Amino acid sequence: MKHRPRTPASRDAGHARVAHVTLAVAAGGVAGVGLLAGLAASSTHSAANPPATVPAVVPLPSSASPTTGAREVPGTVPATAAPDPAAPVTSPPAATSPAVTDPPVLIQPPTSAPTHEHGRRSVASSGGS
Amino acid sequence: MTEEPAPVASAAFTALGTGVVLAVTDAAALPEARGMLEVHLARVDEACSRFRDDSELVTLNRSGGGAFEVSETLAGALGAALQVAAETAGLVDPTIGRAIRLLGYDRDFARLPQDGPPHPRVLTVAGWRAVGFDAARRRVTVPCGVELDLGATAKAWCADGAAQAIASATGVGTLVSLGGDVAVAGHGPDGGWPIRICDRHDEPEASGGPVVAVEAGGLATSSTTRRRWRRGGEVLHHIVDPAQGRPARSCWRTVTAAAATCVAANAASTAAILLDRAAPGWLGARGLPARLVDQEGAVTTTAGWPHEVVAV
Repeated sequence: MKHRPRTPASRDAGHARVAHVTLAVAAGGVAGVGLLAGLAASSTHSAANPPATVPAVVPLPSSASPTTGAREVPGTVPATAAPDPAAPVTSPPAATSPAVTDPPVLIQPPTSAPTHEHGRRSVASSGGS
Repeated sequence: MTEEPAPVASAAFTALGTGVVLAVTDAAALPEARGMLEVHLARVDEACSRFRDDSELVTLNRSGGGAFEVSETLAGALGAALQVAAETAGLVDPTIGRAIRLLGYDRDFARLPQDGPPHPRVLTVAGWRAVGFDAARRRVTVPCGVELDLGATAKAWCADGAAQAIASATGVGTLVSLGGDVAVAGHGPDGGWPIRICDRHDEPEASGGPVVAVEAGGLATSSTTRRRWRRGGEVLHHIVDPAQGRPARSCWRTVTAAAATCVAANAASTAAILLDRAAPGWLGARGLPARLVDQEGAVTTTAGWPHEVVAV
């Protein structure tokens, strides 16, 4: 392979190109994260806000049916073996499609644990129903 | 000692086949809050009921494998149910609908015959991965022979959504309890919302459980002591083990969990019943404060749940 000695000027130009590309990649990453966060927020919003009217279930043409097994519940890609239910879950399984985002883990602890109450009447109860 | 009433206004009524409690920190906001809650309850009943012939869920369960576009309400409730199934590795699974129907729980519980002939055995539950769900397009495919039951999560999901919506619209602290699945939102009373923990939601004083204060998120209790019936002389209950297609056999009779949301608390308490002796470790690993009562009444707590002295 032909190897040419580099001048200070060409080295500086090279560094500038590398910096430019790095910046572009970083900007793309930030934009991508923002887009995914926006999609996640949109999904959460629609799930938390029922519509004003409830449309009836509408059957779709057979061509519109999702592929068997295909699903877009983020982070729920079918696995070959069921995970151990007793094992700690820190995040859902990674999705294979870049268009699918992992939702925040749903089963999260509260911001603060309950505390004992003495001398106050309960407002509600929680028991088997 | 005289118990001081909490400085809140509340209303109690019945919906979704269970007791409802709505409490707000400003009495002037109660009428508007109740109106909003009733709208949420009506939408969830129309979309998610397994006992209404005209509900979306019943239509979906009878779809014979076709793809359907569903309402935002059903899509939201189903999305939550499927995510809970994923995060509990299928312990809390919405595809138990056929199993629980064949076990005899096929109508509103108040109208269910308490005794009857033996039930047919459901050998397998399809599992949540069998359900096709395109959240963005709200398209759902339920394979032929599979029936969904959102009973484990829909009430909790409704409580979360209603509490958040009411607190946002009225600006007051809000508590919504649907059959003991409790969600709170906004700025609550000083010291948090006082909630009594019990085996039976409809008899809170009789069970003599502790009162705890919750400042945010949700609290839920799952119990095998309620919604019980007999078929062929066998006592059955509503918490079905998807792996067995029949009521769970657990060392715990009642589990209460606190979490960031009511759906999460409900998922944790139901999963704990199914996990049997592994439950304290599973809850502790996730930092979920919980109170577990075994069949003899002994109490175990996890992850910061306040300790208590209980007569056994």
